[in-house]
Amino acid sequence: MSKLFAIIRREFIERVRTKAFLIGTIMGPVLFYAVGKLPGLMMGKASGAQAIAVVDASTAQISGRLLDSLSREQLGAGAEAIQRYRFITVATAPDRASAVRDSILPSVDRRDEDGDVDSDALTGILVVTDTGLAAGHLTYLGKNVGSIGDISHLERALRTAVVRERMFALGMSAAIAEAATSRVELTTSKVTKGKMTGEGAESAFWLSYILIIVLFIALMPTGVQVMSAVVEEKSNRILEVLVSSVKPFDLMLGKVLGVGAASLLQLGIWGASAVLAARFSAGQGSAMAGQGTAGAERMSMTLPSIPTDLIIVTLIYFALGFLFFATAYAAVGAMCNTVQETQQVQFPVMGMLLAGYLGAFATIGRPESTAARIMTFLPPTAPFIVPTRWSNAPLPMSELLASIAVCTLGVLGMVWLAARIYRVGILSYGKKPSFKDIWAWIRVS
Amino acid sequence: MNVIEVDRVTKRFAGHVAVESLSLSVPEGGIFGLLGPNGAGKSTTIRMILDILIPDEGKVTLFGRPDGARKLSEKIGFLPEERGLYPRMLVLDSLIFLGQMRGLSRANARHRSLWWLQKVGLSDWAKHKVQDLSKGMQQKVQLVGALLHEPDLLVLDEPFGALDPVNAQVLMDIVLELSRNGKTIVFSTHQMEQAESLCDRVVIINRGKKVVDGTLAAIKAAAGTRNVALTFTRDRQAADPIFRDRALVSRVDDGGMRVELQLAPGAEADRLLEGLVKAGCGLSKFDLQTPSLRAIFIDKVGPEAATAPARAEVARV
Repeated sequence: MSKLFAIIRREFIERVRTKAFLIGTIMGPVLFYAVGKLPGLMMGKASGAQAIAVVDASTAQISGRLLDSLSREQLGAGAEAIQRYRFITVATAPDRASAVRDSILPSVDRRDEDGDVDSDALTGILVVTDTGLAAGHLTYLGKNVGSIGDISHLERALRTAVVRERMFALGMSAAIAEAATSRVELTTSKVTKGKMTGEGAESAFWLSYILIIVLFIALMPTGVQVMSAVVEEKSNRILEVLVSSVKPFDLMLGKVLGVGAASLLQLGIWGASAVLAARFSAGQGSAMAGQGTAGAERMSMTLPSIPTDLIIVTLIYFALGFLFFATAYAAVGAMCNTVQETQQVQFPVMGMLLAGYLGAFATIGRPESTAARIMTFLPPTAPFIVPTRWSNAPLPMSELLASIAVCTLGVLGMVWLAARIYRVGILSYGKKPSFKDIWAWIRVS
Repeated sequence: MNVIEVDRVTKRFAGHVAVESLSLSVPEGGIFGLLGPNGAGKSTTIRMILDILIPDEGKVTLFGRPDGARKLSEKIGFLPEERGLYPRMLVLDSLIFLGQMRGLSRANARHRSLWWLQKVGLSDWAKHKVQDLSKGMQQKVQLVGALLHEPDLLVLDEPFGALDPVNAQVLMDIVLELSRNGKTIVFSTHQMEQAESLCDRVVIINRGKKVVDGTLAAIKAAAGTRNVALTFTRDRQAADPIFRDRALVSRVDDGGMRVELQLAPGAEADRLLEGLVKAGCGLSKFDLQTPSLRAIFIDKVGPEAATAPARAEVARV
């Protein structure tokens, strides 16, 4: 037992002392931030207040009313909210529309000599024509067409405005048209065990999303570290000395637990820094709200509260997943002589890991789907699926216990298999073993 | 009581038999040499003795107990053939860890490590990484790692491999000192000169089988005094026709200016000397002697030992 502890201790200390560990510990939160921000970036960076020139070529010159309603769109909230759109109307004849448009074009995104955007530069040009209005098809040219956020907002605002205009044209009063098209917003709230948690649908999604990524980041590199540690020991030939005084099983267990402890420490540091960052940004967030940038609005989404039962479930499945994958990786390391060789041999283990990771993403909104239920009872996928499902709604206790039981059996089976491969593999050098060889290793008592 | 009792062990790897029905006994105390050419099965035998490999057949008894080396690891020290240390670990930490693996407490292992580092002249390197040390220094560190727990049995697999003559002497002195203190030492080598100067008993194995077993004195006595050691001063090539005369010389171990040869049955040493003088060779030594261990080794193992059979090293257990 003291030898096992000495192995765990060595593995832990030597790992924590490395530069790689230090860099990983610092880079982790940076990466999390990037991953968290990525979906927002993919939506396109939303611009601030926009100056739009409207080329009105409609016979009724309807832009006045249309813009009146658009001008009420705001950016930010509360007292500090500002007008989202600023319009400059250019009325013209239908046949002159393109010519007028082209003449304004140079003002869009105009820069001075230093490359800075002029204060009176336009964001874009909206072209309104009779045919366009009738067909429900308007044209917008602008520097921000790549921003899905901006464009969908403009589209939404225009739709409402055009519908109002059509109702008005059909003879309804402006007041009725306005009342009929007033905004409808959905306030969501997650219900858990018959109680409201006060979280919206969005934050429930984010919780699952972050959980899957954290589990993957915690499980994958740790397994790979175990694998390369085994290969390294093999190539150092230190194993002969160790195996003459310690059982190979203890050696493998010590390695897995030592690496596991080091990565738990790293996760702990990441977790603590995330909590601190959340506190800090919560304080900042209220000050920033309504500052006028849509980006701030998007990022100030509240971090969902993490219930204790979810933390417990996640930790249980992290432990099960860790033991499963780390021992599998230890076996892969024992089969190989060089790190290069591991790249092919680790494929099945990597495949299982990715199945859980991608499976969890695929079922993120469908925790009760058949696929999610099946994956709950597969040892490689359950560590990802169960915490993700739980973040949506707790599983029935019977289902949870059955899943833990299956996973524990899976872990024991994997430890058994890995120990057998490890015991022979660590002392085999030279030729890469064939499946036949490995089968023989597993069979011998 | 024999410290090691190997009883008809056999070990097969994919495609070849590494050790075949090998028996040997190592008595308590003294230095025991396990000799053989490359690929003879020395390391495999040592690994089976130390419970690293499990024999396919036969059994190994240590200290009269069949428990296996791992259960007795507190009493056994092992220096494997190849350097086995963690390159990025500090020297002192490595030694403490190795001591712990042999049942020492951390504090005790630390205390003894410092003492030994002093003794082998590596005190200044205690806080350096293993990879910063030269190959010879690493081997010393590893030897210290094998000795820390003061084992009753010390097994050294090719211990002189990477050592220069000065460091080899340091190691030899340590081994001799341990032997004087009553410890049992087993070492394998294919360097007969070292074996001859250190060992009380030797076993020579070839292709997994034992070919010679006994005390060094008995083995030499059995080989008889049919050997002549020569040292030439000039005209060495003039001796070649005489060496080729099979009625006079049965075997030549040609070392250039130093030659060891075995007289043919019935041949007389005088006639050899006469022939060499007549041929015009200059001689500074003509010594009728018991054969060296090297000569016995070559005689028993044969010239084919130089060509080790190719083999895959994938274990079949």
